[in-house]
Amino acid sequence: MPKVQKPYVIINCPTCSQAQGICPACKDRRAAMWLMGRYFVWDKKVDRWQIAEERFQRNLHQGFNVLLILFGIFGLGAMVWQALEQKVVLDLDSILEFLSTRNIWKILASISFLGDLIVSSRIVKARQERILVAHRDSELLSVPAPEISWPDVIREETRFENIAPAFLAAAQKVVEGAWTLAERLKNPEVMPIHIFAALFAFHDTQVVFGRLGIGSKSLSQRVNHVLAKMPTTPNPPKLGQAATEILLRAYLESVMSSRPIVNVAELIVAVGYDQEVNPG
Amino acid sequence: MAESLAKNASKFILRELIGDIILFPVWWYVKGLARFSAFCWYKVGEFTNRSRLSPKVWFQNLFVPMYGDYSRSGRAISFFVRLVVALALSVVFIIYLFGFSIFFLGYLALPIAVVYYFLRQLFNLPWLTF
Repeated sequence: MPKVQKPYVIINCPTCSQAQGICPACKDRRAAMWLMGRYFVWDKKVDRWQIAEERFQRNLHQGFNVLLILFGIFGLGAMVWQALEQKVVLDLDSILEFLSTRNIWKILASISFLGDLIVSSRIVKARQERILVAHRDSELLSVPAPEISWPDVIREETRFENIAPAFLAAAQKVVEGAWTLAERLKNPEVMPIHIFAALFAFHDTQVVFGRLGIGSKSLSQRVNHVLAKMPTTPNPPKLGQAATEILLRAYLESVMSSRPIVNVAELIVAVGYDQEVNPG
Repeated sequence: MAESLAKNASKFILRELIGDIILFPVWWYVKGLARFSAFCWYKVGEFTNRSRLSPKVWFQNLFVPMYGDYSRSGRAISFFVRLVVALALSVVFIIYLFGFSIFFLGYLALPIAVVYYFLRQLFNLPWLTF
C-alpha cells in the first residue's frame, strides 16, 4: 500500500538545542511549518518582560473599555432620571422639548454617548485588526509537502509568516502560563507537558477530559509526577522546540478545520499528538 | 529591559487612550463605514439573491407553471399567483431596503448628532422644531 504523504511538514532547527542565548541559525524561531507552499513560524518572544507587557496592555485595553461602558450606562441613567424628574411623556414634542433644555447632567450624558461610540468602534476595530488563520485551500492541500531541511527553510526567511497574532487571548494565556510554570519549577525549557499543565486552568480542558471520563485529579497527579522529574537550572526558561511544534500543530488544526483563529481547543488537540504527553 | 518596557507601555497608553479618541471619527467614517456598507450590501444581496423571499426568483419563474400543471388554465392560474406573490414580496423588499437605508443613514448621522448635542449643551446652538 503506498504511503500517504502529508500536506505539511514541521522542520526543526538543528542547532537550537546546543545554542546558548539566541540561536544564530534560526533567531529563536526553533521550528517552521511548511503548509500550502507557505512557511509558518512562532515569531514571538516569551519571557517575563513580554508577558508583563502583554498583560498590562490587555488589562489597560479591557479596563478602558469597561470604564467607557460604565460611563455610558451612567450617562443613560442620568438621562432617564432627568426624564422621570421632568415627567416626560412618550410623545415626540415632549421628548424634543426635554432634549432641548440644557444642564450639567445632559453635558455628562452627551459625553458618555460619545464614549459609547468610541468603545463600540474599539471593539469592532480590535476584531477587524485581528490576524486570522490562513485560509484552507483544498487544491494546495492536495500537494504533498516536499522534503526540506533547515538551511532550505532559513533561505525563505523573508517569506516567514508569524502565527502568534492568530492565537486568541485565551490561547496566548496558555503559552504564558506554560512559561510561568517552567520558570516556577526552574526548568530550562518550556516543554509540551508545561503547556498541558497550563491547559488545566481552562474550563474547556476540564470539559474535554470530563467527557472522556478522565479524572482531573489523577491526571494532575501524573503531570506533577512528570514535572517533578524535569531537570532544573537557575536561568529563565526558553520556549522549547517540542513546545513550538505544539503551537505550530495547533495552528495547523485551525487551518484544517477552517477556523479563523487558534483557540484553547486546538491546543488541546495539538498537545494530544505529543509523544511525551500522550505515549499511547 | 525595564526601560524598553516603560517606553512600550507609554507608547501603548498614548495609542490606546489618546489615539483611539482622536482618530475615532476617521475610523468611523473610513474603515468602519466600509465595513458597515459591506454588511448592509451583503444583507440586501442575501434578500435579493439567496433568500426564499427573493422577488427576483419569483419574477424569473413567472411563466413556469406551478405543480407541473402544463394545461392552459394551470398556466394562467400559475402566472397570476406568481405575479401576486412577486408583487407582494417586492413590497416587502422595498420596506426591507427602506429599513436598511435608515439604518445606514443612522450610522452616518450618529457621531455628528452626538457631537452636535454636546456642543448644544455648551453653546446655545439652534434646535429642532416641528
